[in-house]
Amino acid sequence: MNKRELLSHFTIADGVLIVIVIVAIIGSSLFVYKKGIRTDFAVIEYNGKSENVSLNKDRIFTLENGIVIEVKDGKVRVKDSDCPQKICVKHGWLKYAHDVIVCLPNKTIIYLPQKSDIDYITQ
Amino acid sequence: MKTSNEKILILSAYSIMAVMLFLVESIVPKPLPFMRIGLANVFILLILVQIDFFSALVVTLTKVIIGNLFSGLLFTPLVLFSLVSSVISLLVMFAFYKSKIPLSLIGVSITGALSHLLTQLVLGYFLFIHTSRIFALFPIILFIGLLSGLITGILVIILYKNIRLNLA
Repeated sequence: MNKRELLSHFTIADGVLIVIVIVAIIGSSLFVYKKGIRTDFAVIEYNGKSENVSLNKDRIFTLENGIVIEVKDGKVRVKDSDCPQKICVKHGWLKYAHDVIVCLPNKTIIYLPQKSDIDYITQ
Repeated sequence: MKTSNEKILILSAYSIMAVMLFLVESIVPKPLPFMRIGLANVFILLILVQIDFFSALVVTLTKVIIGNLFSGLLFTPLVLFSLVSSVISLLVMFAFYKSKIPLSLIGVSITGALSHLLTQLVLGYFLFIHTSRIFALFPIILFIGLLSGLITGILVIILYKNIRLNLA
Protein backbone atom coordinates (compact mmCIF):
# COMPACT_ATOMS: atom_id res chain seq x y z
CA MET A 1 0.00 0.00 0.00
CA ASN A 2 1.56 3.30 -1.01
CA LYS A 3 1.42 6.51 0.97
CA ARG A 4 -1.41 7.94 -1.13
CA GLU A 5 -3.69 4.99 -0.52
CA LEU A 6 -2.73 4.85 3.14
CA LEU A 7 -3.62 8.50 3.65
CA SER A 8 -7.07 8.27 2.14
CA HIS A 9 -8.41 5.22 3.96
CA PHE A 10 -9.41 4.86 7.59
CA THR A 11 -6.71 2.72 9.26
CA ILE A 12 -6.43 0.69 12.45
CA ALA A 13 -4.11 3.37 13.84
CA ASP A 14 -6.91 5.91 13.38
CA GLY A 15 -9.25 3.67 15.32
CA VAL A 16 -6.67 3.29 18.09
CA LEU A 17 -6.20 7.06 18.22
CA ILE A 18 -9.96 7.65 18.45
CA VAL A 19 -10.31 5.04 21.21
CA ILE A 20 -7.45 6.65 23.14
CA VAL A 21 -9.11 10.05 22.89
CA ILE A 22 -12.50 8.66 23.98
CA VAL A 23 -10.87 6.96 26.98
CA ALA A 24 -9.15 10.24 27.81
CA ILE A 25 -12.49 12.09 27.58
CA ILE A 26 -14.19 9.62 29.93
CA GLY A 27 -11.24 9.50 32.33
CA SER A 28 -10.83 13.24 32.56
CA SER A 29 -14.61 13.74 32.94
CA LEU A 30 -14.62 11.39 35.90
CA PHE A 31 -11.69 13.30 37.36
CA VAL A 32 -13.07 16.78 36.68
CA TYR A 33 -16.75 16.26 37.46
CA LYS A 34 -16.33 14.00 40.46
CA LYS A 35 -18.39 14.47 43.61
CA GLY A 36 -17.45 17.06 46.14
CA ILE A 37 -14.61 16.58 48.58
CA ARG A 38 -15.42 15.19 52.02
CA THR A 39 -14.06 17.00 55.05
CA ASP A 40 -13.58 15.81 58.60
CA PHE A 41 -14.67 18.89 60.52
CA ALA A 42 -17.35 21.56 60.35
CA VAL A 43 -17.12 25.20 61.37
CA ILE A 44 -19.97 26.74 63.37
CA GLU A 45 -20.05 30.52 63.66
CA TYR A 46 -22.47 32.11 66.13
CA ASN A 47 -22.53 34.97 68.63
CA GLY A 48 -19.45 36.37 66.91
CA LYS A 49 -17.29 33.34 67.64
CA SER A 50 -16.16 30.44 65.53
CA GLU A 51 -16.00 26.83 66.65
CA ASN A 52 -14.60 23.74 64.92
CA VAL A 53 -16.63 20.55 65.31
CA SER A 54 -15.14 17.17 64.45
CA LEU A 55 -17.34 14.99 62.24
CA ASN A 56 -15.64 11.73 63.20
CA LYS A 57 -17.76 11.18 66.31
CA ASP A 58 -21.55 10.79 66.06
CA ARG A 59 -23.38 12.97 68.60
CA ILE A 60 -26.16 15.49 69.21
CA PHE A 61 -25.52 18.71 71.07
CA THR A 62 -27.15 22.09 71.69
CA LEU A 63 -25.56 25.47 71.11
CA GLU A 64 -25.99 28.36 73.57
CA ASN A 65 -28.63 29.94 71.29
CA GLY A 66 -30.84 26.84 71.33
CA ILE A 67 -29.89 25.27 67.98
CA VAL A 68 -29.67 21.47 68.18
CA ILE A 69 -26.92 20.07 65.95
CA GLU A 70 -26.56 16.44 64.96
CA VAL A 71 -23.35 14.85 63.67
CA LYS A 72 -23.63 11.44 62.03
CA ASP A 73 -21.51 9.44 59.54
CA GLY A 74 -19.28 12.42 58.73
CA LYS A 75 -22.31 14.59 57.99
CA VAL A 76 -23.79 17.43 60.01
CA ARG A 77 -27.27 18.98 60.15
CA VAL A 78 -29.42 21.24 62.27
CA LYS A 79 -31.81 18.88 64.07
CA ASP A 80 -33.95 21.51 65.71
CA SER A 81 -34.09 25.26 66.12
CA ASP A 82 -36.45 27.79 67.66
CA CYS A 83 -36.50 30.05 64.62
CA PRO A 84 -39.92 30.60 62.94
CA GLN A 85 -39.39 29.23 59.43
CA LYS A 86 -36.90 26.44 60.28
CA ILE A 87 -35.04 26.91 57.00
CA CYS A 88 -31.86 25.66 58.65
CA VAL A 89 -33.61 22.44 59.70
CA LYS A 90 -35.16 21.87 56.28
CA HIS A 91 -31.76 22.33 54.58
CA GLY A 92 -30.76 18.85 55.65
CA TRP A 93 -27.32 17.29 55.84
CA LEU A 94 -24.01 18.94 55.02
CA LYS A 95 -21.74 16.41 53.36
CA TYR A 96 -19.24 17.99 50.96
CA ALA A 97 -16.82 20.89 51.26
CA HIS A 98 -18.42 24.31 50.59
CA ASP A 99 -21.86 23.15 51.81
CA VAL A 100 -23.38 25.82 54.07
CA ILE A 101 -26.36 26.16 56.41
CA VAL A 102 -27.30 29.65 57.50
CA CYS A 103 -29.81 30.39 60.27
CA LEU A 104 -30.44 34.12 60.13
CA PRO A 105 -32.76 34.50 63.18
CA ASN A 106 -30.17 32.84 65.39
CA LYS A 107 -27.18 34.47 63.57
CA THR A 108 -25.57 31.09 63.01
CA ILE A 109 -23.56 29.76 60.06
CA ILE A 110 -22.48 26.14 59.72
CA TYR A 111 -20.16 25.12 56.88
CA LEU A 112 -17.67 22.52 55.79
CA PRO A 113 -14.40 24.26 54.96
CA GLN A 114 -11.85 23.52 52.28
CA LYS A 115 -8.69 25.42 51.45
CA SER A 116 -9.34 26.71 47.96
CA ASP A 117 -9.52 29.87 45.88
CA ILE A 118 -13.31 29.66 46.12
CA ASP A 119 -14.95 31.06 49.26
CA TYR A 120 -18.48 29.70 48.97
CA ILE A 121 -20.68 28.04 46.39
CA THR A 122 -24.30 29.11 46.77
CA GLN A 123 -27.10 26.67 46.15
CA MET B 1 10.87 22.36 -4.83
CA LYS B 2 11.43 25.52 -6.80
CA THR B 3 8.88 28.28 -6.68
CA SER B 4 6.88 28.23 -9.87
CA ASN B 5 4.05 30.50 -10.92
CA GLU B 6 1.76 27.55 -10.59
CA LYS B 7 2.78 27.02 -6.97
CA ILE B 8 2.22 30.67 -6.14
CA LEU B 9 -1.25 30.46 -7.68
CA ILE B 10 -2.10 27.32 -5.74
CA LEU B 11 -0.79 28.80 -2.48
CA SER B 12 -2.82 31.97 -2.90
CA ALA B 13 -5.97 30.05 -3.85
CA TYR B 14 -5.63 27.77 -0.81
CA SER B 15 -4.86 30.74 1.45
CA ILE B 16 -7.97 32.55 0.28
CA MET B 17 -10.12 29.49 0.88
CA ALA B 18 -8.62 29.01 4.35
CA VAL B 19 -9.26 32.68 5.20
CA MET B 20 -12.83 32.51 3.89
CA LEU B 21 -13.61 29.43 5.97
CA PHE B 22 -11.97 31.04 9.02
CA LEU B 23 -14.13 34.15 8.61
CA VAL B 24 -17.37 32.26 7.99
CA GLU B 25 -16.71 30.22 11.11
CA SER B 26 -16.04 33.29 13.25
CA ILE B 27 -19.40 34.78 12.17
CA VAL B 28 -21.39 31.72 13.30
CA PRO B 29 -22.58 32.20 16.91
CA LYS B 30 -21.30 29.60 19.34
CA PRO B 31 -21.61 29.04 23.09
CA LEU B 32 -17.85 28.86 23.65
CA PRO B 33 -15.28 30.69 21.50
CA PHE B 34 -13.26 27.55 20.75
CA MET B 35 -16.31 25.53 19.66
CA ARG B 36 -15.50 25.63 15.98
CA ILE B 37 -14.85 22.97 13.41
CA GLY B 38 -11.64 24.53 12.18
CA LEU B 39 -12.52 24.18 8.52
CA ALA B 40 -9.51 26.30 7.54
CA ASN B 41 -7.42 23.36 8.68
CA VAL B 42 -8.78 21.38 5.71
CA PHE B 43 -6.70 23.43 3.28
CA ILE B 44 -3.66 23.60 5.55
CA LEU B 45 -3.55 19.81 5.88
CA LEU B 46 -4.30 19.38 2.18
CA ILE B 47 -1.38 21.55 1.14
CA LEU B 48 0.86 19.83 3.71
CA VAL B 49 0.33 16.48 2.02
CA GLN B 50 0.14 17.83 -1.53
CA ILE B 51 3.15 20.16 -1.53
CA ASP B 52 5.37 20.55 1.55
CA PHE B 53 5.68 21.88 5.08
CA PHE B 54 6.74 25.42 4.18
CA SER B 55 3.82 25.92 1.83
CA ALA B 56 1.50 24.82 4.63
CA LEU B 57 3.25 27.26 6.98
CA VAL B 58 2.66 30.08 4.47
CA VAL B 59 -1.05 29.22 4.26
CA THR B 60 -1.26 29.01 8.06
CA LEU B 61 0.35 32.41 8.61
CA THR B 62 -1.81 33.97 5.90
CA LYS B 63 -4.90 32.52 7.55
CA VAL B 64 -3.90 33.90 10.96
CA ILE B 65 -2.91 37.38 9.74
CA ILE B 66 -5.59 38.05 7.10
CA GLY B 67 -8.31 36.18 8.97
CA ASN B 68 -7.73 38.07 12.21
CA LEU B 69 -7.36 41.34 10.29
CA PHE B 70 -10.86 40.93 8.89
CA SER B 71 -12.39 39.71 12.15
CA GLY B 72 -10.83 42.70 13.93
CA LEU B 73 -8.61 40.77 16.32
CA LEU B 74 -5.23 41.29 14.67
CA PHE B 75 -3.80 43.74 17.20
CA THR B 76 -5.40 42.23 20.30
CA PRO B 77 -3.76 39.70 22.63
CA LEU B 78 -6.21 37.12 21.28
CA VAL B 79 -4.23 36.85 18.05
CA LEU B 80 -1.53 35.16 20.10
CA PHE B 81 -3.88 32.22 20.70
CA SER B 82 -4.59 31.93 17.01
CA LEU B 83 -0.96 32.24 15.92
CA VAL B 84 0.72 29.95 18.43
CA SER B 85 -1.91 27.23 18.36
CA SER B 86 -2.13 27.22 14.55
CA VAL B 87 1.63 26.85 14.16
CA ILE B 88 1.92 24.19 16.87
CA SER B 89 -1.01 22.30 15.37
CA LEU B 90 0.75 22.38 11.97
CA LEU B 91 4.00 21.09 13.54
CA VAL B 92 2.15 18.24 15.26
CA MET B 93 0.32 17.27 12.07
CA PHE B 94 3.62 17.36 10.16
CA ALA B 95 5.28 15.15 12.78
CA PHE B 96 2.47 12.56 12.65
CA TYR B 97 2.33 12.73 8.86
CA LYS B 98 6.06 11.99 8.58
CA SER B 99 6.12 9.43 11.41
CA LYS B 100 6.00 5.67 10.95
CA ILE B 101 2.54 5.48 12.57
CA PRO B 102 0.16 4.48 9.76
CA LEU B 103 -2.41 7.21 10.40
CA SER B 104 -4.69 8.25 7.57
CA LEU B 105 -5.59 11.90 7.01
CA ILE B 106 -8.44 11.48 9.51
CA GLY B 107 -5.97 10.56 12.26
CA VAL B 108 -3.54 13.33 11.31
CA SER B 109 -6.42 15.81 11.32
CA ILE B 110 -7.55 14.67 14.79
CA THR B 111 -4.03 15.17 16.19
CA GLY B 112 -4.00 18.63 14.63
CA ALA B 113 -7.39 19.61 16.08
CA LEU B 114 -6.49 18.29 19.55
CA SER B 115 -3.10 20.00 19.64
CA HIS B 116 -4.70 23.25 18.47
CA LEU B 117 -7.27 23.23 21.27
CA LEU B 118 -4.90 22.02 23.97
CA THR B 119 -2.37 24.72 23.08
CA GLN B 120 -5.11 27.29 23.50
CA LEU B 121 -6.07 25.82 26.87
CA VAL B 122 -2.48 25.91 28.14
CA LEU B 123 -1.95 29.42 26.74
CA GLY B 124 -5.17 30.57 28.40
CA TYR B 125 -3.93 29.18 31.70
CA PHE B 126 -0.53 30.86 31.53
CA LEU B 127 -1.53 34.19 29.96
CA PHE B 128 -5.01 35.09 31.19
CA ILE B 129 -6.70 32.76 33.64
CA HIS B 130 -4.25 31.73 36.34
CA THR B 131 -6.50 29.22 38.03
CA SER B 132 -6.47 25.49 37.51
CA ARG B 133 -10.29 25.58 37.34
CA ILE B 134 -9.82 26.23 33.61
CA PHE B 135 -8.84 22.58 33.20
CA ALA B 136 -12.46 21.66 33.90
CA LEU B 137 -12.77 22.42 30.18
CA PHE B 138 -10.39 19.55 29.36
CA PRO B 139 -13.03 16.85 28.59
CA ILE B 140 -15.12 19.30 26.53
CA ILE B 141 -12.05 20.34 24.57
CA LEU B 142 -11.06 16.74 23.86
CA PHE B 143 -14.59 16.01 22.63
CA ILE B 144 -14.69 19.05 20.35
CA GLY B 145 -11.21 18.22 19.06
CA LEU B 146 -12.21 14.65 18.24
CA LEU B 147 -15.39 15.72 16.47
CA SER B 148 -13.85 18.57 14.48
CA GLY B 149 -10.82 16.43 13.62
CA LEU B 150 -13.11 13.73 12.20
CA ILE B 151 -15.12 16.22 10.14
CA THR B 152 -12.10 18.03 8.70
CA GLY B 153 -10.30 14.71 8.14
CA ILE B 154 -13.15 13.34 6.04
CA LEU B 155 -13.30 16.59 4.05
CA VAL B 156 -9.53 16.48 3.45
CA ILE B 157 -9.75 12.91 2.16
CA ILE B 158 -12.54 13.85 -0.25
CA LEU B 159 -10.50 16.77 -1.58
CA TYR B 160 -7.25 14.77 -1.62
CA LYS B 161 -8.84 12.11 -3.81
CA ASN B 162 -10.31 14.63 -6.25
CA ILE B 163 -7.72 17.39 -6.57
CA ARG B 164 -4.58 16.41 -8.48
CA LEU B 165 -1.91 19.05 -8.60
CA ASN B 166 0.53 19.10 -11.51
CA LEU B 167 3.51 20.96 -10.21
CA ALA B 168 6.46 21.30 -12.52
